[in-house]
Amino acid sequence: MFACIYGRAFPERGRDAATLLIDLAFTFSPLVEQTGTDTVVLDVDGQELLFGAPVSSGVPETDWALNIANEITRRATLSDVKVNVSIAANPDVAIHAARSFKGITLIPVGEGLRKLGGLPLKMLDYSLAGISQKAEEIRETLRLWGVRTFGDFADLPVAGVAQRLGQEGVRLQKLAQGKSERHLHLFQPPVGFEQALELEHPVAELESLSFIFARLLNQLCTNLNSQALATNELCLYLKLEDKTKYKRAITLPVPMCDPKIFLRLLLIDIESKPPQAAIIAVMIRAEPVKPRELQTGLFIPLAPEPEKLELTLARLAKLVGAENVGSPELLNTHRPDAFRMTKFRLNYRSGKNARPALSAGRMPELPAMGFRVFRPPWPAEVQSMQQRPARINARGASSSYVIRGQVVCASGPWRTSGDWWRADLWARDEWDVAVRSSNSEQSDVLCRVYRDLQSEEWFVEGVYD
Amino acid sequence: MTKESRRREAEGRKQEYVELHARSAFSFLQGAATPEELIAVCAELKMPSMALLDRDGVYGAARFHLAGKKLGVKAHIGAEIAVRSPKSKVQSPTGDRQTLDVGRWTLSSPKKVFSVPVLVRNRAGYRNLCRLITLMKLRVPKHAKPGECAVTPDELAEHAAGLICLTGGSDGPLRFNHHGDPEKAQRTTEWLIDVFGKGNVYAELQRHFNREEEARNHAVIEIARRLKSPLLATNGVSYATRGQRQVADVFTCIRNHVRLETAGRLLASNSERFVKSPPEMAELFADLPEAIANTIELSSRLEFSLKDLGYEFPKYPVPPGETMTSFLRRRTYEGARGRYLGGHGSPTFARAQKQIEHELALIEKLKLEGYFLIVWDIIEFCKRNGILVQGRGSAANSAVCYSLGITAVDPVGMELLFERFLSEERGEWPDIDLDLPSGDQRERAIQYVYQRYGKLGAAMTANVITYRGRSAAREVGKVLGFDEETLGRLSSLVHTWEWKDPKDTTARQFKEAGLDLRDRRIRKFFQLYQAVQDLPRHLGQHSGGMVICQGQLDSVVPLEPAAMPGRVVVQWDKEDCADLGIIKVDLLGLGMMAVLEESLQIIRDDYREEVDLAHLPPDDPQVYRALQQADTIGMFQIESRAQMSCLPRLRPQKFYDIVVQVAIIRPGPIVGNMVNPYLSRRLGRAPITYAHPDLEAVLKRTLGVPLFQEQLLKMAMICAGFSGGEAEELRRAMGFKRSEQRMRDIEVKLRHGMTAKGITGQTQDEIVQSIASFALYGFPESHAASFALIAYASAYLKCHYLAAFTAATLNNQPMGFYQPFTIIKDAQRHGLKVKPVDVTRSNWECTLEAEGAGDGVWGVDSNELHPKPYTRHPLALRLGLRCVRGLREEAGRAIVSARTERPFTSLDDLHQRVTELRKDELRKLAAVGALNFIQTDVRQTSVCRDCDKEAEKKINDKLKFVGQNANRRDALWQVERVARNPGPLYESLAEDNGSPLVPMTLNERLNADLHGTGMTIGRHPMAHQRAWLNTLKVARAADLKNLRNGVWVRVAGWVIVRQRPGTAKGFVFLSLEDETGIANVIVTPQLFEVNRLALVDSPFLLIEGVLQHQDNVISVKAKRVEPLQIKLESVGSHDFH
Repeated sequence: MFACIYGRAFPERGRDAATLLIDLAFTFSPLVEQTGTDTVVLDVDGQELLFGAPVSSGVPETDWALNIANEITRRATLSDVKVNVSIAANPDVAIHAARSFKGITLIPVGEGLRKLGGLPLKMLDYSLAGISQKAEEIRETLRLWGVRTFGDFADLPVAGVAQRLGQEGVRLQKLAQGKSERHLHLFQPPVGFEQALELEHPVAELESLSFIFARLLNQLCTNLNSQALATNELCLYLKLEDKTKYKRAITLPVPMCDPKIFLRLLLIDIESKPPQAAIIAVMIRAEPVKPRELQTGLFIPLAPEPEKLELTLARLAKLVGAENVGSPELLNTHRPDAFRMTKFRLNYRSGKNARPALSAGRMPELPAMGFRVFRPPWPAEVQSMQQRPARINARGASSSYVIRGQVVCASGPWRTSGDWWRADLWARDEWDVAVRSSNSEQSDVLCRVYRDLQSEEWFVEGVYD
Repeated sequence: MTKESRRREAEGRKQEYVELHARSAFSFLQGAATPEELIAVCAELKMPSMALLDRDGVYGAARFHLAGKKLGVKAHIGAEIAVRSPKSKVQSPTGDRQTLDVGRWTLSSPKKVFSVPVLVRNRAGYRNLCRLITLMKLRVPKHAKPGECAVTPDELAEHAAGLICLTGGSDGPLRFNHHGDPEKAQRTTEWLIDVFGKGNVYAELQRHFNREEEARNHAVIEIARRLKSPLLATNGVSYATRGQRQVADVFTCIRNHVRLETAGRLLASNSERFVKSPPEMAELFADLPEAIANTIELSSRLEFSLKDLGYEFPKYPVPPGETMTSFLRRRTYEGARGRYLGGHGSPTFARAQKQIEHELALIEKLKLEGYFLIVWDIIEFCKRNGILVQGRGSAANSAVCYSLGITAVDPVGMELLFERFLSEERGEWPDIDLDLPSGDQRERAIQYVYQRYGKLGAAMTANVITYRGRSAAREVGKVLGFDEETLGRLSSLVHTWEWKDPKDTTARQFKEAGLDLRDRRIRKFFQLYQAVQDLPRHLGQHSGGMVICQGQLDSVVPLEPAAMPGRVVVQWDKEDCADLGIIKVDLLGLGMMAVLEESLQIIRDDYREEVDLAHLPPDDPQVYRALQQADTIGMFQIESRAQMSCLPRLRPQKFYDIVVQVAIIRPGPIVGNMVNPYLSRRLGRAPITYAHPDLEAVLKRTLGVPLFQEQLLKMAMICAGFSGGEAEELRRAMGFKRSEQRMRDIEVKLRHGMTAKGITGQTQDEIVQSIASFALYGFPESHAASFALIAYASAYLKCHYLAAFTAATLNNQPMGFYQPFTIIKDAQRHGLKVKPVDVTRSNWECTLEAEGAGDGVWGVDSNELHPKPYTRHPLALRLGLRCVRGLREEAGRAIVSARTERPFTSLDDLHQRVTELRKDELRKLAAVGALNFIQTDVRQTSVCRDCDKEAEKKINDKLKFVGQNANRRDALWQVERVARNPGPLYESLAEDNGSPLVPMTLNERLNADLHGTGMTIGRHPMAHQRAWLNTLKVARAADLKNLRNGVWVRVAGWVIVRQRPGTAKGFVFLSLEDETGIANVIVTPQLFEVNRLALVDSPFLLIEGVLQHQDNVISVKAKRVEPLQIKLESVGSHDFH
């Protein structure tokens, strides 16, 4: 006998009906099929001993079946899920009944068609007969034939149906007749990659915390290993005593599965940004991914081990701030000196994407002159003559170096503007100027100055070497 | 000249500069200003001339030239031509890199393309430029990828005469930066000098404050000095004003399918490509004064302007001994005798002769004989091939056109103004538009013109598609990076309903859509959306305009392939062609012409009668009765709801009334408040007065109310002292969609003229309003008369040959105002018997059959019949297989062809013999009952391939018997069997007799009909609900005429038309159809707002309101709206929004 539970989701209560139904089904039987997000079927054979008297006692079949159905309904109500339950000898009959009839439905053996015959054909679940591609076509044919109910369909001559709709039609007709035969597709609970611990006492020290982290990470890595997986992201969730939550995510450059490295990374990270209150619960979640391929090319130069590199980077980030570590990436814009810091990564794959080395016989194409950029640019006082810079006076905020003197030669303006659709639109005129220093101790400089056309202020952007 | 004197001369010219490299928006997404804007800025900066060099075309040249002419700026013409770069390697098919030698130079791979800016020096140069572009465009398909569409270096060399070449900017032939190879650049320059000649290649310098560009300039100067080429300063203009850089950036994004945020360096680095003033340019090139001075020198070398286009209309070949003049005269008089001596109340031949002489003299004077003969030739071709053709538009004002058979309206009899068609003063070509049956027949006429004048001698005019409405909103929104939901809201702001609330401000619209105009991005969107309005987006093809040229059209204007195979289009639209004096003939497709033509054929075949449209009885009482009762469904131009509500008031009694009827329901007369005054005067309720006594002669025929364009022109001439030419300018401005400014300028002139003549105050306002409102849309009288003829013909055929007319109308769907469902029901109410689609009888088209007893359907009860049904001929309509939705023509015709050999005996027989039929098509046929006549038990009848007549008769009797007792489900059951390969197991399995399926109910049949054919020949869906509706006291549409004005009434029906015209101040008009006819409902804007959902979405409505019954016009003013829950597959309504 099979029981089918059909329950509606209550998204507003923040509960997932699919999970609830599965959990509920497993409390009755280990043989559970998740037919849909709102439907589960379970094999309840052998439960007579639990929910009714032994067969020898002469208790009718319906009695214990009713008991099971009642118990399922009761437990579902406790879990805040409203369900329809049906019990039948055939899982598909049970499914259709649970989806179509409210409350509890018991269908004795051989009475499937009698009970379901009046159901409209739109209730027939084609996927139960393994029909997906031709479903639309068959549906349209049946609509044109005026076949409206399970009973109408069941009454059609089998040979006629086979001739017209093929084996799919026959399977579907059997489904409508309640005569389909199949095994349950048993549900396998997924392995979790989350580890959590509620602490008995609040923990405020890092050392104590490291033991807890180690325990959880060991278990997490064991779980990952058991599934031949690794992770490329670790998320740490802490519940704090002041009822706030603390969350950190560590993205790894390559998939890893080493609890010791994870522990050190977590500790460095949490040290750099410690929680504001004692911790009362810990949860660590790992994003499961396929492990890294260890085989690398024979001629690829050796690179630091990613685990060690990650640790070094984490330490650097702790020292200088995460935003100041990484690789600069030029942005695709005309905005001058626009770049962003991206996470430093080594290319562990083959050298396909590596930058090609300069060939021996070819000179670099960029101008030979180097340019030293001042970040941030130095504010400058510039006197203009005939709309060209004539004198300049600038000093960096934290530098004793001064650019002051007469402009002996100026090339420009080089005008750029952009991002006009944004609030931070920009426009500027650049000049390359040679400045004869007024201080005889300082040498003449060739530098780049610009005027911000929005603020009308002058800056020195850098000097040419 | 010494160095010093050259310097002094350059100093003197310092303030003079001509921009010789400008792109307009006609570079399609590579320029952001219209040609007119460029010229306007040019004039403002006092620049004497300017050159327009659009990408691979002269699309904007005509507008540029005209704008220049108006503002006194000389418009130089040129283009940027895509050329494959010489001397570069090309990948061979085997993958080896190799160099292909082409003459002296080598040909590059197609991807290496640069653009060579060329300027036209003289007419030969212009001819070469047009041919070069044509060559490039015609060899690749439309929408070719960049790089595919380019000329080879050799082709450029062949067409270089008369052209001046510039070395271009960043995408020109010398496009290199500091990574580039200056030697290669020098070689390219040498090549250009070789191609264009010494002195015709200018080293172009552009300064946009860019380091790389300046580095290139240095190299170019060096090369120029070495090769002794003159320097030329340009600004590589892409837009008129600095602010338009934003539009240019948006276009760059659209072209590259990116957003502004992600476009990065694809966007311009600054806003310097605007039209700079001569002093600005002189300052920029202060170190190179000769580069500025050379612009003046080069400009003076460019002699060509578009007024020397060199266009010539083709000469018509005449027999030996004849001139075109004598030949035209002979043909005209031949026709005139036939037309004017034939009777039918025409004026005397003598009167016509006087007019013809007057016209022929003018035609001869203007040397237009060729034009008339060529149009006559097209007409003759159509006549020879049985293609119905009729001229429309102002050509109908000409007695010569009437005599030549070009038009069908007698201008002498109707006293039409010939000068509206052709006047000496105007100095422009006349315009003849021909209406042809839409579809294949029109295509035949077009192909005849191509064939006669050669592929390069005739082409269609272009239609410039501009940024407007929803598409513009979506594209701009996408570029700004709005998500799909916001995009949807933004584009919905562009109103789909024609009517716009005057109180609807933009801010309010945005607010209602949940968008805040204070938000920077939204504000930017709005600003950009407005900025791109009316800028060209791409080139389409005009529906029927053809230009013809003596000799090579491709030397007058470049030609391009059209989307439709076998067609070419010119790069100018019809207004540009007209402005430049290129003559065109419009070959327009008209669905009703196809209907008329087919009706005549059916009448010939089935009624055995010959109807000549030129000689229809002019005053047929049945036609006028139908018109007066607004019983006009299916009739040309007078079937719309608005026309129907006007007809009972106007009560047409003679042909001229139909002319007025056709012209009066137009936005022009409606907005100008001319409809009601005319009708009141006609009904004798208002006195006939004139705004000014001088206008009586002009307006007498229309009772003092101006209704036609000609009247407006004459009014302007009389009241404001306009000359004929000025009046013509006024007319052009009316039809000129491009500029409201033009209309405003004319209004000022008009008022000034009227004031001078002492017409002031309210009278002046009235006259101005009358004229201005015609700008929206108004008919010329001759055009209305041509249309009225077709309208009369359609009405005549419907009244006397209903079956033929209905069959032809159904065979030419989609067309007209109503869906086939309404047309069928209307025909049935008029007594036509309609028979269902049946594979044993139907052809692909709808045909006529003798009315057999019992096998057709009236579709209406006797009490639903029209009081005077048109049942002169005992012919019934057999629906054709084309009515079955989803049945391919190929399969339908295959059925007919197989059946012609011998009848089908069973479904298996049909399936085996018509292999083209797919399973889904069989199903569709079965569902609509087209297979009812073929049932399984007939298979038992022994029929062989060589069955004799008697056996065939037996089968037919049997089929008929089965058909009467069959149902569609049997066929559906069998179809699934025959359409599926049974396989060895079932092959020999005998089927039980009949099917196990339950026959379709009445409602199911109705649904299957509507779903499968969009119509039903059975009872109207509302007839099935009548008993229930009677309990609700719902009146039938036909009963409304018996009710008093002002009574409270309920009507219900299927909504077949929903309209919210722009001229109706927000009122919505619905047409509800039931089994007895159509009820008209008026919904106020307030009621519409409250019941918007039901009114827009519900297929069936119940309306309660007050009956308005005035002057035989019946409508219900809705007070309450309720959707009716009738479950049917909707055939959809005809919604105008």
